Amino acid sequence: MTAPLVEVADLSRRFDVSPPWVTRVLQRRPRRILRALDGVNFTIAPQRTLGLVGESGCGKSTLARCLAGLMPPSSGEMRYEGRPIDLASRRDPRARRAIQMIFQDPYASLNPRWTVAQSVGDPLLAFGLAQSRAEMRAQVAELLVAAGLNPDDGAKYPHQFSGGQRQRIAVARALASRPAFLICDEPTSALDVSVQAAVLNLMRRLQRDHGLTYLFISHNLTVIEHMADEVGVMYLGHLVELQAKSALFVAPKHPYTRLLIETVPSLDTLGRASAPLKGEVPSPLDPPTGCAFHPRCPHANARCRRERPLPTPLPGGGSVACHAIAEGRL
Amino acid sequence: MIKPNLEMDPKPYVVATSSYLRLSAPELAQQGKEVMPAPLLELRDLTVRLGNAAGAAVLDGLTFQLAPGEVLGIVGESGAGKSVTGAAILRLLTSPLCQTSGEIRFEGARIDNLAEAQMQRLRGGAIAMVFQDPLTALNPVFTIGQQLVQTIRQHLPMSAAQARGRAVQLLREVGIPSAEERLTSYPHEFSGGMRQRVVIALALAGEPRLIVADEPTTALDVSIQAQIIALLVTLSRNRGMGVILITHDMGVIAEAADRVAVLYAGQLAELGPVAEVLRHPHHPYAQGLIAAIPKIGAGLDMLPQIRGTMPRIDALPPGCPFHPRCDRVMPICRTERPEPMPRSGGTLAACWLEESA
Repeated sequence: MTAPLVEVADLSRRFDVSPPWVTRVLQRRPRRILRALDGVNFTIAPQRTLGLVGESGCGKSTLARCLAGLMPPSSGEMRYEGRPIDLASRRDPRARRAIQMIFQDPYASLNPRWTVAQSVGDPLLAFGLAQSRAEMRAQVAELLVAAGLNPDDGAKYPHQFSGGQRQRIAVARALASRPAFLICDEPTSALDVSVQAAVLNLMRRLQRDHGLTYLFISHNLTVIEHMADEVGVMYLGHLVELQAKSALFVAPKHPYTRLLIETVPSLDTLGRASAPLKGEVPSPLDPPTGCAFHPRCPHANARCRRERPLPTPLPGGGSVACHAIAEGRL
Repeated sequence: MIKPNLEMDPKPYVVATSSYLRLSAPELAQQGKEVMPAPLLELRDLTVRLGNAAGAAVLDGLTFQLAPGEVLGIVGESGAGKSVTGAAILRLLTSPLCQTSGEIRFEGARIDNLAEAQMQRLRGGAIAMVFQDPLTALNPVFTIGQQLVQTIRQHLPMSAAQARGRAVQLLREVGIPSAEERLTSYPHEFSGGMRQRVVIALALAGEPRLIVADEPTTALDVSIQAQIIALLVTLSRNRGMGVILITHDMGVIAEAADRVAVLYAGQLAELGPVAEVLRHPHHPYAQGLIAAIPKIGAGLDMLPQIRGTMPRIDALPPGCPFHPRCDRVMPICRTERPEPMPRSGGTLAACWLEESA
């Protein structure tokens, strides 16, 4: 077992969404705290892909943003190569360079006023990876080729590209600082299927060529199944299940994972009289007591309504947070 | 009930009255009636051009029929003409921005040349639409009760109190809990999935016989998506309502549609029963599109890709629009455009390739 590249321990992120102070005092309203992430633990081994799946509001993107240093976590620890990451305070150029992110919307993540070469070349300048302009131009061209673009595309602006090409530019930019760990937050959700296939293939090839480690976030289970080695399932800020891909899709443990996998529209289940997952994700502002999933869970009992289950290790590796499984009811 | 009271075309179309449409085929047989199921909707050579008759065709020569109670899926990638088809059926594309030609028949009668006032009565009445984003489809400053009552009274002769009762009934039908209390809620007080249910209730307000649903689940989570799709299919079965389901998601099509039309660059590539098209696609584009979807348990290292990108509609290649990306291109593909031709399994495919095993 190699040492993990990335470790996340008991990571939490709370947002204060209280009404303004005056309103609170006059209307006697309490503070309101949104727990977007609540005690998340996982590790990622070098050159592996951890897929994170969950519905909107489950904390996937908050986790990505904390890891990328775009927002500080409220508590908990993140370690890269065994050393704590301190991205937010700009004191850790090593981790800053090694951890890069690809965003969901290639229309919003590229500066429309910058040429592609400026966007892709900026990390090179920021980290002092190119000594001269000529060197930078050469490296940008190389990165564009690696991302499946034309080296001359550097002179163009983002609006001259299609969605899939823009996502390739975003990939080239993320690779510019020669990172080891890429956080991909829904990188293909805005793309058409045939374009998605091309971008996923590109990401897989780059992972192999550059020995990259991925945190791959998506709401699309089939994409996760294609890309990930390990899969984490998130629900309302909690990591409810974490297993190797092969185990999770064959024998999902947590009731939420089971229902999620059943719900995936598949080309094989034609005209299936689907038994959709009942109910909706509760508001993270007002989460249910006990297990967050209990109002939608067919196996919930009094203990589930009262007591929050903690992740327990599974015999075959991974973990699951469910009373029904711990008690052998499921 | 509003039926288009229109001059009938001399062509022999069997038009079942709407009361027949509510009965299933076995029920009709029980009554000893033999009814040729008239197509609910028929498109013939529907073409939409940008600007004027010489403009680029965003939709080119689309022909299909939809039976009552049938769910027809329309798939394709961005720019393939899916949404344009839906908008053209409701006649939402007007000159001088677009030029629409070809025939659209609803319950046997042409609606493509209908006067705007008559069309206005059909829209939201006999033909309704469900949009992708439920938040922008609803008016944020009115309660959903106000919006429902207004739509109901616009299309059905009802008093305000009757319409209110009907609104509650509709909200129950689409599965909104405590419907009566929710009438006074504003759209922002609903979750995304519930909002889309409200939009569907609004679409049902005028007792439609055809619903055009344009990406109804794209903005929703997977578990909610399954609920909305199940709701649409149930409504279609129970009410004998035709549904045109526009989506880019083949999985949604597989679950909900009876037949599917695959569009490419504004043209029909393939049309047929869902099982046939998904399992034995004839058109190389349909084959490539289906192969490119990641599938659970496939264990592929790389996904099969279609090379190149979809051409701009104002710069379509001559011949078959797919030929520059096709692996099985032949000389004729570069010069002549293939018409949809019948294949095995009741499928139509616009491709010069002969039937292959």
